[in-house]
Amino acid sequence: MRRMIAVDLGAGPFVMFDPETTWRSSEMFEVWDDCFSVPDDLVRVRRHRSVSVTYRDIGGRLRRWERLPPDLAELMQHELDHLDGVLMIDRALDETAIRPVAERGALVDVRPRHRLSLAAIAEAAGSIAPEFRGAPVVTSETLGPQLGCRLTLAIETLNPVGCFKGRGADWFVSRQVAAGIPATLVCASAGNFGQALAYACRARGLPLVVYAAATANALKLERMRALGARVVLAGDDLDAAKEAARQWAASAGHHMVEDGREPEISEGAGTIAVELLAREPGIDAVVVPVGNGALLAGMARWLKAAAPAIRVFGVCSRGASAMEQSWRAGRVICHDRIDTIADGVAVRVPVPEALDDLRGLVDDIWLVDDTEVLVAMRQIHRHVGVVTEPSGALGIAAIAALGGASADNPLARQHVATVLTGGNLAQLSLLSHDHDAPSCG
Amino acid sequence: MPEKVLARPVLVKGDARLRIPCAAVGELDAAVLADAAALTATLQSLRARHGFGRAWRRRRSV
Repeated sequence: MRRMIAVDLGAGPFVMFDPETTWRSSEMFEVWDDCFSVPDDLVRVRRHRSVSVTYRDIGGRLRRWERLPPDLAELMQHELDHLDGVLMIDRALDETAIRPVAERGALVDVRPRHRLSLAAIAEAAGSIAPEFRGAPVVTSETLGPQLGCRLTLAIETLNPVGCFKGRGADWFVSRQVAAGIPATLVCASAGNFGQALAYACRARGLPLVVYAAATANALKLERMRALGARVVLAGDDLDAAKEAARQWAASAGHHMVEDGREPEISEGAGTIAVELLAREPGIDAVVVPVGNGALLAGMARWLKAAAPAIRVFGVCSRGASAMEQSWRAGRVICHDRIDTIADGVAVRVPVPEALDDLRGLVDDIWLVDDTEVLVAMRQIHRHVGVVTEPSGALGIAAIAALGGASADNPLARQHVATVLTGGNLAQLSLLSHDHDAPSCG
Repeated sequence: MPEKVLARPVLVKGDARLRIPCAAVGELDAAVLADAAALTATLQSLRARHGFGRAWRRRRSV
């Protein structure tokens, strides 16, 4: 018998070859353990609350799975014990710590399911509109070395709405139609989600009303109208427009669709991770722009189940950091104002459900400022030949800000992926080097 | 058509093999990959029979 562990966290099985524990937390916890090799018993054991492990994957790559959450840390300690010939009954705390499995209901809680369904993400990956699937995944041989890593880009700018949001919108509307839910939809959008929802509604003959801020990107407003949406301007920013949309939808009896609140939208976005992993299974880290968090949640949900050694990082604009602060605090923190050129991620009122979806899935969330974003947009254009809007360049801005090959860069020499989330740039002059004083997107 | 990989029986308490420390895998050769496929098939079989695997449950910490 050899040292390997098969694991299935809901996104398909993977095998860990020669796993080893590299770190154990000093904090311990007690749990009721169970085992298919000891099928009649539950055993009270004490485990480290967290561990880090290394292993080789099926491709022979060394993977580092760092600081596991308690439930998975317990699982790994149990399985690693097996590899050493140790059973849970050897670790029973005392003579009362071995109980019949029939008492499970009284002793063991069932873990609540995550709001985002892995099965739905897998289904969406095969069924959303084909024009949004199979986006280019490319490795940049010049930008990566400049940033001190091997860099893979998921390019989500080359579809009918010029951004990643077509995936979630299509999946959401298809589920609405399948469920026979009343037809007229209402949303608020900075522009990209509205375009995506308009595209999906038009394909199914559904009416859509989009509320947008009076300051919204003119290009995006024009495209939403061209896709058949009725556009209403209200308020000075997205969150003000959202409140107006919510009130109108309630008064008119229509369904308000909120990006980040509807799980299907995040599940649709998660299909990017499915495609990314299928193309590049050896990725060490994924860096994802964060607006309301639906993209990050959808991708992280899949990545942490399919290949949990991959570290997942979010990136917010420093001028719209409500989600970053909320994630750190573990509660919704709203801001009074936003100040960024990255209109696609300019959230000042986080969606509670979207914030909760990130719990336990994200390794860190970083901030970048507008100057770093501008530089990143130009780098992407120069090295990859792709135009991104400011929010689409947040990932590259964050990777660049980490300092290339420096010793304290957590991504140095790693295989890093990011998503170029959108290319709906109204002001092409932002790509020019003589434009260094950003004022709008 | 690839041959279907069969699940193997799960060793249960009392089987002396459960007490033998496993050897390092080393090179991922054809025999190792076959064992890995069988291990995966066994896990999937358990999942199909019981509706869950161990990782789907959380133990109460009291």
